[in-house]
Amino acid sequence: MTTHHLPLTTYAPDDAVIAENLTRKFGKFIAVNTISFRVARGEIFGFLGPNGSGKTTTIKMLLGLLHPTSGAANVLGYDVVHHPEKIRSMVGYVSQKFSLYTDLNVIENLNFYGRAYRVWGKQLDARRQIAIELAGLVGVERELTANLAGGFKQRLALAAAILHEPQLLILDEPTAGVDPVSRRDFWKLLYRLAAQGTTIFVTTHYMDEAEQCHRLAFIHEGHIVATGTPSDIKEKQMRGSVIEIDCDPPGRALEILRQIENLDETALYGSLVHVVARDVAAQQPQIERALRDAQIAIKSIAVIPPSLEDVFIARAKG
Amino acid sequence: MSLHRLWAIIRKEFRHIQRDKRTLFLVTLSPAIMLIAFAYLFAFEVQSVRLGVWDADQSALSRQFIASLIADGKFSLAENGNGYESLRGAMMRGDIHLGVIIPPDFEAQILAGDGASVQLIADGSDTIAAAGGVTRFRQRTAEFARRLTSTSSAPPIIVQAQAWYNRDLDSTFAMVPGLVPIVMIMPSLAIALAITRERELGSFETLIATPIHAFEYLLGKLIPYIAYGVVSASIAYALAIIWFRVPLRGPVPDLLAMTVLYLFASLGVTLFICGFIASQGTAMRVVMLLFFIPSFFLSGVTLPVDTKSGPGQFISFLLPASHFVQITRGAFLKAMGIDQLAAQSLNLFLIGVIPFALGILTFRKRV
Ligand SMILES: Nc1ncnc2c1ncn2[C@@H]1O[C@H](COP(=O)(O)OP(=O)(O)OP(=O)(O)O)[C@@H](O)[C@H]1O
Ligand SMILES: [Mg+2]
Repeated sequence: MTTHHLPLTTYAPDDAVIAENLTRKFGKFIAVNTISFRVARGEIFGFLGPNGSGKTTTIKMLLGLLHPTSGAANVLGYDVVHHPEKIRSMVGYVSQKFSLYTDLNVIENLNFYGRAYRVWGKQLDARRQIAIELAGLVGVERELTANLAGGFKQRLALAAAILHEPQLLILDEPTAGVDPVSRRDFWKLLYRLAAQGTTIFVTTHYMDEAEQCHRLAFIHEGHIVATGTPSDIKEKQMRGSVIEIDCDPPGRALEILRQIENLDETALYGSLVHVVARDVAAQQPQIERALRDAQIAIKSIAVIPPSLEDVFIARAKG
Repeated sequence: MSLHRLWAIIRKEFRHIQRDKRTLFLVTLSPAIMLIAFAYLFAFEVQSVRLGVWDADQSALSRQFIASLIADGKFSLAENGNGYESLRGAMMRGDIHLGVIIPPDFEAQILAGDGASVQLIADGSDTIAAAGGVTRFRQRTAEFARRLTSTSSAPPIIVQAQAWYNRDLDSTFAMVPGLVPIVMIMPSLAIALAITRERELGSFETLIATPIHAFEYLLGKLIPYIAYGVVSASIAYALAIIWFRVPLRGPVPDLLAMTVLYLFASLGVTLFICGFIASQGTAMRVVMLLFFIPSFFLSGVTLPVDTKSGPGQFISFLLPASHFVQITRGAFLKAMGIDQLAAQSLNLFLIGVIPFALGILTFRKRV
């Protein structure tokens, strides 16, 4: 394994996380491939990417749970390979898979994690109470964790991760599988924590959540393919425009459209087909003709502003 | 190192044990239940006890007597001796469990109605075979004697024990204390399952993302299982005393202290090994393979250890059960305290402390 310290000059105290050419291989497979990024203190940083793109692997390296194969990372001023314990005491971590103890109740879990982070006594009592109120766990304090609904579990995991008032909170798909109302509540919480100065590093699949981040990085097959603010990314990084077609059957439409030249990208969103091309308006008549020839019913067709997801799909392929 | 954190882990671990029925069973009642099963199995199903016979009489009756002993195959004739020394040698080599000495006037005395006395020497290393064998030998001899039509009121054959024969073997269940080390494997199985379950559920990953130290984690796991181990051992001891009527002659506090040492050793080794195991299934197989089966055959519980050659003896020394079996037998049958069993106690401490220390050194806070 070859790892190196970051050159001292590149470290800036305003950065909560710096990754430079961070790489992790599993055998021959490169899960994270020479990625570099910075997370400024106080920002909500969204780390986006499809399944298996390397998000969790990156997070584990930031926490010292996995060693980089090469490259380096610095978290809150400490090198991840050489000072993982320093980092761990200042970071709160909510893992992708719910991993608190299901046979302990809410208070028991919070007490345990509080003490694990060296918070105890009156301080623990006070902070636990604040966390319980903040996370909306009032009334379920004595409930066995196994019996909590998904949204409650996620908020409990968050509460357990903030008892030691971490400077950086790392959340790995914290809202996966949670209903939309709970997701919105969860993000309100993240905003409150960010407002108190906590840096937040969060991965998600949900584009509506991505839109709420201050800054984003998009990882695809181990490479970072885009970074910037959500609006930055939408304006600057999209090389074409998007046409949205509501048609039936959409799967067949996709097949037809993929045979047309000059279209950069076609993707399915539920029953809606998105087509990306340099000058999509000029392509519209050709698209309509092709679909009609294939006896596909077009309910509506319109040029729309690109969503983040369109950008990411386009970037990943391009 | 933080006492708060250690205490937090201990408390959490106690809760896990108390709230999971399977774990709770493993660390409370299961050793006692296994003890009952094994005790009856061994007491009545001791297979093929090997006899050495020195027939100084060489008469028709003495040959009939020997034939009646081995008729059903539960005794086998492994040695025809021609003196005490030949029997003693065969026993040292582990070739025989029991030595039988038929006196030169055996037939003459029985026919005269005076009654003959047969001498019996048993393997002093307290094997189950020897213990079961003594009881069975007495039964067989009595049956043989009953078939002799004797007019005399004196018993036709008396079984006489040799001076170096351990009188305690006379009790059917004298081997019960010696079985305790084997059944006390259950807390090790429980801790192995608990550790690997924590890994499987992903809780371990979140735990090592906290600033917890290896020492706190391992000691915090160990202490609750030692505590419950003492509870389950006490249940097993009570069973041996009350149900199997084996007297506990040694001091109780000493026995409990040495039980703690045994638990420290067996759990310490398990903790160390579990650092390299990811799944509950593997953990179960490893504990069975590494502890249960060797403890059965190499610890001296079922077979005398000193008969084993080099490697067997070495493995035997590394097994916590080998030392603890001497402790439980010594404490129960020979009224021994921790002072007389200091060597065994020290061995247990070393067997526990070395892997425990290695466990801390090799503990990786990585996934
Ligand atoms: N321990 C490992 N050994 C081998 N391959 C691994 C290991 N951990 C992860 N991988 C592989 O590395 C790639 C990246 O995995 P990672 O978990 O980082 O993805 P992810 O972006 O978090 O995906 P998801 O959204 O599904 O959580 C995947 O292809 C995965 O199969
Ligand atoms: Mg992941």
